[in-house]
Amino acid sequence: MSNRNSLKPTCDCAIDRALHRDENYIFITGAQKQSDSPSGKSYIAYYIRIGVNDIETKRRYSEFESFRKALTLLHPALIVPPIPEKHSLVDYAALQTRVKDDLPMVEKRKRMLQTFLNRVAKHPELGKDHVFHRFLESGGSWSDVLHSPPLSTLPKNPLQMVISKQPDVQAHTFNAVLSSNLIPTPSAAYQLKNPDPRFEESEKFTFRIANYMSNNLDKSQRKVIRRLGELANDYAELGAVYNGFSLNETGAVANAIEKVGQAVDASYTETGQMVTSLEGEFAEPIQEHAQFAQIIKQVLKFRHMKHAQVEMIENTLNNKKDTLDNLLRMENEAKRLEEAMTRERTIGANAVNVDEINQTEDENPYRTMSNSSSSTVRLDRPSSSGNWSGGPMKVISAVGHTLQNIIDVNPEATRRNQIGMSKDAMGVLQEALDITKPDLAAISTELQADLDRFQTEKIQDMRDMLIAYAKIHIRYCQKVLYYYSKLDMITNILLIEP
Amino acid sequence: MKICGNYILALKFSLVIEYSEDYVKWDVHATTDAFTPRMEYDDPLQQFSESENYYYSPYAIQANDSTESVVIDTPPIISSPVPEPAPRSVVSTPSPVTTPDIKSSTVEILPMTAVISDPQKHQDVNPKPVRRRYQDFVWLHSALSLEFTACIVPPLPEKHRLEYIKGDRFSSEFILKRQISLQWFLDRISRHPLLQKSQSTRIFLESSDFKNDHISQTRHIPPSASLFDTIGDTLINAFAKIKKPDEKFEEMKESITKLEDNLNIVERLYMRINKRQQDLHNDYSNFAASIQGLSALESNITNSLHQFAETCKAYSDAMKEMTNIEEIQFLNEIHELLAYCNAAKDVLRARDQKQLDFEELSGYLHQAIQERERTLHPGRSYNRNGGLNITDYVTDKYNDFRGISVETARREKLSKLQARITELQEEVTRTNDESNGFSIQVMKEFDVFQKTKILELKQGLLAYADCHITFFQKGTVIWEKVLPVLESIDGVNGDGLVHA
Repeated sequence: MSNRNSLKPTCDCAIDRALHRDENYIFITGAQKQSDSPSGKSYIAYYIRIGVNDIETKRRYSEFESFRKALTLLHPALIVPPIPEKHSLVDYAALQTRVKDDLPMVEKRKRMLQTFLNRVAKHPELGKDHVFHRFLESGGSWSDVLHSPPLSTLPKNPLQMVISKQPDVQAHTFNAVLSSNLIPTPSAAYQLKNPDPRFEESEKFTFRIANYMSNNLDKSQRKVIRRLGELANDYAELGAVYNGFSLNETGAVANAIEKVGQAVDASYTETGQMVTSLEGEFAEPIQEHAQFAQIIKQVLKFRHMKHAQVEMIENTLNNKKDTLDNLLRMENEAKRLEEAMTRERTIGANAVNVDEINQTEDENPYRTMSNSSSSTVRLDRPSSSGNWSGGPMKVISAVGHTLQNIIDVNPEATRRNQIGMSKDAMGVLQEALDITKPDLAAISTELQADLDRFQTEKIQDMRDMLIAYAKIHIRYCQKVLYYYSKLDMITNILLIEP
Repeated sequence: MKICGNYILALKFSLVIEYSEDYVKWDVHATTDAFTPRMEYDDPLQQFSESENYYYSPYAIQANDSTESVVIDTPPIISSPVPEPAPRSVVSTPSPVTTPDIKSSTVEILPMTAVISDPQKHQDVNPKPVRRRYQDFVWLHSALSLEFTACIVPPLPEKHRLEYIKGDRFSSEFILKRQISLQWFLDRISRHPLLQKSQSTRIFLESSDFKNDHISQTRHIPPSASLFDTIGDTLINAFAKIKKPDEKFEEMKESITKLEDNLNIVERLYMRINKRQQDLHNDYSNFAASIQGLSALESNITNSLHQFAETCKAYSDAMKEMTNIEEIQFLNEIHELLAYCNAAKDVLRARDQKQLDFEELSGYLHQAIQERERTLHPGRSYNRNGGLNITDYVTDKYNDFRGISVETARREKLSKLQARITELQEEVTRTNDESNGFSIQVMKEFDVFQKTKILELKQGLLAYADCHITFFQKGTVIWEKVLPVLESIDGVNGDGLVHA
C-alpha cells in the first residue's frame, strides 16, 4: 500500500477502510450468467468481494468499461490500469460466439478484471477515489453513480478541468474560466516552444516500447503457447495409439509399449497444464503491460497538451497585452492631441510649434496621418501585427481607412470599446494562466511520480512473470522426466530378459 | 563393435563411408569374428548346416559336396529337430540360448551380450575393412533371396529416393539415413541363423576381390531357383486362393498385419509431431529474440532479460536436438520394422504359393485318375453328380464312325493317361515336399521374425526414452540456472548488477 501522501483526503467510507486500513485483497469470486428480466438478454455478472468480508457486489463488463473511462476522465494525468479488451469484430467473425458463451474467455476476464481492481486499489491516488469505492459498494447502482457528481459535472474536454488542488478552485470538475471561448485549445500537432526535456525523453521511449511490446513480444510469446497447445493434442492422440498397440502385443513388449503410452499421456497432461499456467502467469501480464504502454502514451500526450495549453494561453495573453498597450497609447495620443487643440484655441498667441508636436509624433510608429482638426483626427486602427509595408498593403490599408472613415462614426467609442474588451480578455486569460500554470507544474510532478511508481511496479511484475515462466518449465520437465524414467527402467529390464 | 559415425550401436559389422567419384562405397568389416563357413569345412558346425539344408532341400545350396542327394522320397514332414547329428539336437535354430559348442554363432545373434568368441577358434582373425557400394548390397540381397527363398531376407533401403531426382545423392543427411538402414540390414542378417552362414554373406564381408568373387558365387545358385520362376508363379496364381488355408499361417499373417497397422499409425503421428516440435523450436527461438530486444529497451533489467533470452534459446536448442535424435533413431526404426514386416509377408505369400502349387497339381492328378477310371469302366459314373459323360460318349461314337476301333483307341488313351498320372504323381509328391519343407522353414522364420521384432522394438523404445530423458534433464538444469538471477531482481534497483 502507498506511503505516499496523497493530496486528497480520504473519504473514509466503509470500502475505503476495508481496502486501506485492513489492506484487503479484492477477489472476483465468480462469473454467472444473468438476464435482465424485461429485455431477456443475458450477460455475465462478475461477483466482487473484498477480503473475507461480506461486502460483495456484482458488476458486468460494460460497467467495468464505463468505470474505467470515468477514472480516465477524472484523472487524465494518472496511469489508470487497463481492463481486458473487448471482443473485436475480427474475433467475432473468427469465433462466432459471444464472449458470454466462451468459457475460457470468461475465465480470462475474471482473472484480468480482478487484477485490474487490485491495481486500482494499490494506486495511491486512484485507490482513494470515492467513485472507485462506490463501484465496489454492494447494492450500488452504477448508473446512479454516473449521473451524480463528480461524474456528472465532468467537462468533455479534460483540458477544461483543473486537476490539482488549488485554493478557491474546485478540481475535477467543469471550470468556467477554462471553458471560455477565449481559452485556446491546442491542436494535436502543436510543437512546444519550451519542452520539458524529461518528458520528451519519456515520450520517445514510451513510443518505442509500446510499439515493440504489442507487435513483437506479445505476438511471439503467444505463438509459443499456441503451438504447445497443438502439441498437447498430438500427444493425446499418440498416447491412445500406443495403448491400442500394447493390446495387440503380448508379454514384456506389451508392457513396455504400455509404459510408452503412459509417458506420452503424461506429456499430454503436463503440456496442457503448462499452457494454462503460462496463459495466466505470463501471457496475461504481458498483454497488460502492452496495454499499459499505450496508456502511458496517452497520459504523456495529455500532459503535453496541457503544457501546450499553458504556452498558448501565455502567448495569447502577451498578444492581448501588446494590443492593449497599443490601444492605450493611441488613446493617450488622442487625448494629448485634444488637449493640444483646446489649448491652441484658447491661447492663440501661444504659438505651439505644431511641427514640434508633429515631430514627436513622428516617432510614433503608429502615426499615420495627423490632422490638425481634432474632430477629424483619425487614427488608424492599430494593427497589432505591426507595420505593413509593401505596395498592395498600402493600397488596402488606404482603402480600409477610407471605409472606416465612412463606417466608423465614432472611432473613439470603438477604441474605448476595444480597450475594454481587451482588458476583460486579459483578465480572463490571466486568471486562466494563474490556474493552469501551477496546475501544469502539479500535473508534471504527479505524473513523474506516477511514472516512477509504475516503473517499480513494472519491474516487479516482470520479475514475477519471468520467474513464473522458468518455474513452469522446470515443473513440466521434472514431471515428464519422471514418467520417462519409469519407461527407461522397464525397457532396460526387458532387455535383460529374452 | 561400432559404426564409425555418430551412433554407437553394438553391432557386428561396422560401416565406414567413403566418398568416391561416382558412387558411395561403404567400408564393411566384421569386427568380431564373422562366422561364415569356409569351403574347407574345418568349421565344426558345418555338419550342422548340412542338416539344416535337409529340410528345405532344393533351395539350400552350400556347395557342400558332402550333402546327400536332394530329393527325398518320403513325406518329410518332420517337425522334430535334426535327426542326424544327434548330440546337436538341441540347437536346431541358433537361438540366444548359449551352448558352448556354438558360442561363436550366438555372438552374432545377440549382439548386445558381451560374449566374445574365442579368437583361436577361427582363422580369419584379422577382419579387414572392405569397401562396398550400394549395388553390392543389392547383389547380396538378391543372392540371399534366391538361395533362401523360404527365409525372410531383411529389406534394403529404397533405391529411388527423391534425392536422386533432386540431385542430392551426396548430401550428408541422405547418406546418414542410408548408412543406418544398411547397418540394420547387416545386423538382421547377422542375427539370422541361416543367412549369416551363407557363402554369399561371407564373400560380401571378406572378399578382397569382390568383383570376381560375387560373379562366381552367382553361378552356384541353382537354375531352378531363378527369379523369373517366382514372378511367373505369382502372376499366374495371382487370383487363386488356397483351398485349405492353414490356421497357423493365417494367424501369422494377421499378427503381422496388425503390427503393420499399428506401426503405420505411429509413424504417421510421429511425422506430424516431429514437424510440430520443429515449429515449436522456432517459436521458442523467436521468443528468445523478442526478449533480447526487450532487454535493450528496458535498461533497468537488461542483464536479467538477456540471461532469460539465452535460457530460452538453450532450451529450444535442446529441444531441436531431441527432435533430431528422435527422428533418426526412433522414427527410422519404425520404418525399418515396417519394411521388415513387408518382407515377412512376402515370404508368407510365397509359402501360400507353394501350397497352391501342390493343391493344383493334386487337382490335376485327381482329374487324370478319374478320367482313367472312366476310360477303364465306361458307363459307370464316377462323377459326383452322377451325370452321363457326354464327351466320352460322343468321342466313342465318332471313333466308331471313322472306323477306328474303340478298343484300340481306348487302350491308347489309357496308356497316355497312365503315363500322365505317373508323372503327376511324382510332381505332386515333389510339390508336397517343397510345400511342407517351406512351411516348416517359414515357421522357424516367423520365430526369428518375432524375436527380431521384439528386440528392435525394445531398442527403439529405449532410444526414445533416452533422448527424452536427456532433454528433460537438460531442460530442468537450464531453467534452474536462470532462476536465482531472476529472483535477485529488485523492484527499485532492477538488476542490481553491473551491466555486463
